[in-house]
Amino acid sequence: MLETHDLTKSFKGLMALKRHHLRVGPGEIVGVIGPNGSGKSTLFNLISGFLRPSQGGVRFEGHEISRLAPATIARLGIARTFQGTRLFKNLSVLENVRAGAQLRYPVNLVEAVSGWGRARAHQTASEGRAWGLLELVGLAEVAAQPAGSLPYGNQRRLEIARALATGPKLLMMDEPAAGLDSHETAALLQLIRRIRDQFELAVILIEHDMDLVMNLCERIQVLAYGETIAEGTPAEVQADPRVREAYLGGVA
Amino acid sequence: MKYARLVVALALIGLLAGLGPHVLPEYWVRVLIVLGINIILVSSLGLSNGFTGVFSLGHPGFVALGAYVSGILTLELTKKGAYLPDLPGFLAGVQLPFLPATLIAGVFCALVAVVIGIPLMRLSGNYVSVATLGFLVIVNVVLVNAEQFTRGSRTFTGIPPYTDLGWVAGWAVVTLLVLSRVAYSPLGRAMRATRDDPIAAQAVGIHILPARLMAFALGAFFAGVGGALYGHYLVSFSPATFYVAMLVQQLTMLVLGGQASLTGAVVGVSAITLLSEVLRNLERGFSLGSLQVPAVFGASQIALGFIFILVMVYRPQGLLGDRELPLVTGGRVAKGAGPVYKDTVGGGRT
Repeated sequence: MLETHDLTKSFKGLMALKRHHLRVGPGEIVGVIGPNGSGKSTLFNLISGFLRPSQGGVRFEGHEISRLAPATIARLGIARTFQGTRLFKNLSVLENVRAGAQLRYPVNLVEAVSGWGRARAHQTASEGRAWGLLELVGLAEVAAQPAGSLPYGNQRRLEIARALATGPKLLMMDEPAAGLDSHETAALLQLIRRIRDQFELAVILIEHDMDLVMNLCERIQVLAYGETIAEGTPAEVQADPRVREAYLGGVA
Repeated sequence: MKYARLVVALALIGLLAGLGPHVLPEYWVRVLIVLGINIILVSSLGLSNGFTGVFSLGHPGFVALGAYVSGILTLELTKKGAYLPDLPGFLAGVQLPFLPATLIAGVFCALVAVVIGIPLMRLSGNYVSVATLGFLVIVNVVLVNAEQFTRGSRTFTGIPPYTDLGWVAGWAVVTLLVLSRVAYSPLGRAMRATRDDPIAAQAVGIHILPARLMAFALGAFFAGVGGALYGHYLVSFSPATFYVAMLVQQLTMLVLGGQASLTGAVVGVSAITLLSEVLRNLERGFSLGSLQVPAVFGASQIALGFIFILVMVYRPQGLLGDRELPLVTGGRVAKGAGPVYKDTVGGGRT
């Protein structure tokens, strides 16, 4: 479904990602791990269109997408969350999710002003979808609050609901467990599994929380200094001496 | 039932427009006309500045274009021959009624906004403010130099005095109706989303440029309409009428009321219009019993400046922040928007 081929990005001579290859199939949960600065976030920004590759490209369902605008890529069915969350802070919780849902329910200027055509049906449909997602992530009670006023853990959940509202086939999550306690992380693990099953999504996860990664992911890729140093099941990756070296700094 | 409030509002405005000129002193009719025109101009400015966060300083440029376009199109043919002898043929022989001239003025401004917006709306924060200020300067210089069309810096005069309370009230209602329906539709949500976080907006499939461009062009359309109304109210004006002083006044009204609120635009315009009328009368001097207060000219401007400073110190998000009357939002999002509009004031944000 998603395939990066030879994907390379250099920033003024610094190789952030080198000849990266990754294949993700429908319904798979894949983890990407690695020390800080290993190219994980660069990879996400390349796939979602916020960065242009220096070489190579990204194919999604057979189409080359690496030259498309981020909004176009989102429309094709790739949703993402951000490190540390990026919400529409002044919009209500419900409005945030509806902002995600509305690309599936477009309305033009004439329809918006007159209320004719698709306006009403789409209004109802996108609102219904938003409420459903808020219930799924447990935020229906705070739907009217401004998103910026939510506690951190809830902001995370809201960002996930907003991403799901776009109707993705692939969900990319950038450090979803950062800043969560072990209890919240366990709940997050359940939520991601449930989302995958219910929406038949593929998931790519960047994460430092090894418990979460090892328990959740079916396949893990390890990056260090922009290079892929290992790929396999959680057990294989944990046993790989190069992975230990990357994390422990050559002591092993 | 659904339209009950609208009908009541329309009836009130109709009554005001119909009876006002007969019941009210002429002075207050003129105050109301200017108030209505400013509601059109400031609420249309709010769409780009408050809802998309693109803090434009070019609005009076569109007002000017609207006033001149409608003025040229409606000028009597004999007067055209006298005042604008060098007008090209297709304009020299044209004399349109008020409504089509106003609409053409609005459409012309919207087209100009699209053309300059395509490069400018890619900028953000202070850069777009400076660039739109550049547009205002260019419009001013062009109007001064295009003597063939505008009589240059001399007064453009002889424009038919079509603007009355009825036209202004009607257009103000249309403006607020259209802007509120857009601002609280998915299109307006896209505008507000790009303001709060352009990166997250793109990640949920919102293209930044069309969202900003729509706000800018729609705002320019109503600026053109308002400019036409203002031109036919003043009857004679020059390029200097639509320059920095007008910009400052519009921004003051907008920021005072609350940029991300159409209700706020109306409140800001009304507050400043009424205050400046009251203060203007006071500065001519008055007597309180035996106490005689002498005339201090300019005192009203100083008082207004102080009021503005006080509001910004105590309510930097403006009087209303981003809150709206339920009437404006269709009763849908008002409760959710909340008064937290903080770090986007001033437009210095990417």
